[in-house]
Amino acid sequence: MRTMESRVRDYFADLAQQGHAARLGIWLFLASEALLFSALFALFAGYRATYPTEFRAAAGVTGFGLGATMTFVLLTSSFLMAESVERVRGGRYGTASWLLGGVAVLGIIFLALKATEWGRHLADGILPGPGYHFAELPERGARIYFTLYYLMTGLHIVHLAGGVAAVGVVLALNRRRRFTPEYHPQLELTGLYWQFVDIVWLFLWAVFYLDR
Amino acid sequence: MAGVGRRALLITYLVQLVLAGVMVGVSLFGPASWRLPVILGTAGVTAALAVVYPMRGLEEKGTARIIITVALLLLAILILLTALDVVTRGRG
Repeated sequence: MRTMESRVRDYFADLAQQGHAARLGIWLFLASEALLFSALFALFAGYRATYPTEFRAAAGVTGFGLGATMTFVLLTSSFLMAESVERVRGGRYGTASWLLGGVAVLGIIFLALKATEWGRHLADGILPGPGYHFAELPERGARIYFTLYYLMTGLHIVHLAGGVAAVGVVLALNRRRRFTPEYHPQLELTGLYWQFVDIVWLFLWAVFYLDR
Repeated sequence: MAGVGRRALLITYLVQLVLAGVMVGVSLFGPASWRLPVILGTAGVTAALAVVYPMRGLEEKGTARIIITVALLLLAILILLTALDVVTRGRG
């Protein structure tokens, strides 16, 4: 078993400084991610202003109930993630493991729901770009809408899948008792990342499912 | 860094669920003219709750606080310019 001191890298004075650097790094990463997604939302806003009627009609095709279900799943997973961090702070590692397992399962459920939805769209001829041939909405604006839909929700899926993998890693670390109530940076950083992915989804849900 | 407390996390979660319900309600029953701004505003409040409580963004100090502030400033500029683009379409 490694001691707390042995976890300090050479270039840090102590664990507190190392933990602060880790949080600094994740905030920098999340800030750059926020700007990436914001640029895509700006692109969406520009096209929506050009094709308002077509965009609203296209939003009516996405699953309203499915979108609400996915939002509930992600909000609940974020709550469990935040709870797991609190449990580790309190030294309750067993409960934290169960909570992290719950986060991973909810993340996988979200991905499965999204795959179901994408499968249904693809079967209807709703493909991104020039392959689009959905008979009910043949207009150019609808094609642009669904190209953006696949691009933005696809990017979110990649982030969420990465998050599920990260949750698996911190779950394994927790089960091996690698965390202490004072020092658990991998769990904290994964928690911040998971909350961010949830936040991005709220805006995706708003523009692709609720604006009809 | 001290935790925010489980009670605060639970209340945040419940409020977020209520706000998500508000977004659904506005989408179903809100007039088309102000539907999207209200939905996006509610999403913004829901996101802000996540940043303040589970992410503890306000408790960050030093360089991390500068990064958060600059990122929010850049986001605000992007949102402002995008909104200006949208509302001034077809003028002039």
